[in-house]
Amino acid sequence: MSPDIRVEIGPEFKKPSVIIRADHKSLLVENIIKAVEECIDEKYPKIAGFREGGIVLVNQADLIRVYTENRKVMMATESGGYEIRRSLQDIEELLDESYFVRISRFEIINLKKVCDFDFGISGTIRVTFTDGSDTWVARRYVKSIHQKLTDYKKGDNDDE
Amino acid sequence: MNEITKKFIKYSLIGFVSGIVVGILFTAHDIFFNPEYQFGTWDMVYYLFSGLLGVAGMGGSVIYQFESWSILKCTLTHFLLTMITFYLFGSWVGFIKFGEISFWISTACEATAYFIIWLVQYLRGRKDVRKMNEELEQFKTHCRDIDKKEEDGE
Repeated sequence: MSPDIRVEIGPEFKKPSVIIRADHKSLLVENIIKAVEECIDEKYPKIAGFREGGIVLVNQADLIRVYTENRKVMMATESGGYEIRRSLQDIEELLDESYFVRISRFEIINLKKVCDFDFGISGTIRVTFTDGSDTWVARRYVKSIHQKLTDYKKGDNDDE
Repeated sequence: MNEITKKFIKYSLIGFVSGIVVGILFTAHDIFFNPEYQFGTWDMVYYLFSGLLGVAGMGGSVIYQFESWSILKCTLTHFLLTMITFYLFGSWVGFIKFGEISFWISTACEATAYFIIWLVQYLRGRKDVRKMNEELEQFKTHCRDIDKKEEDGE
């Protein structure tokens, strides 16, 4: 039995709160509590994706890329694509900055899911992912990709 | 007004002024040292033409801001834009005579210059990508080490 979900938005609610109402503490209730805790406790929360009327929470580690397509923000995972009902900028702020990097005005990628970069004769930088899909990189983001790929070295040096 | 339109207007204005300045420099000898020199309609057209060439060159450079365009596409489009402007106005004011040796020389010079621009950007891009792939390998090794440490419960 799927629960009713009611969302109340109003200026009087300064802090988001979740109330679960049930006649007893069932497995479903425990799962809801766990899901909510996972969402709020993590430094890098799961991302809610919508597909065919359903909603799933995707771990950031499972994300391949987040991109804009036909004015919709989409995320690609190895299990398929989902729509995200937030702006690309909002999502960028939620993502783990150690692994995610912007590669164009329309796209953010997970560096852990990158197979390699390729430079074609026409001068387009292509990036291929572990699932075989690919996309292009805007030239003006090359510097920030370099930086992201070497940022961890700074941390290592600081530790020494 | 989006960012590219703003840049186009800014670069076009700079290009127009720069074009006129370059035009003046080319005729500086006549302006400053020829006592019979008089500013006329032809000079006006000439400076306007120089300014428009500046607009095509500088304003057209916003093409390089199109993120999804390859270096080849940007360079070819910019080349065509400046050449068409040059030949259109050049033939109109009588600078250019199609088929003459000067026409072929100017075309060859311009094409060579654009080829060099493309080649420099291509080689720079290829070097960048090679470096990115090396850095990616090191980054992945680092990530695997972190994952392993986490699995081991460190």
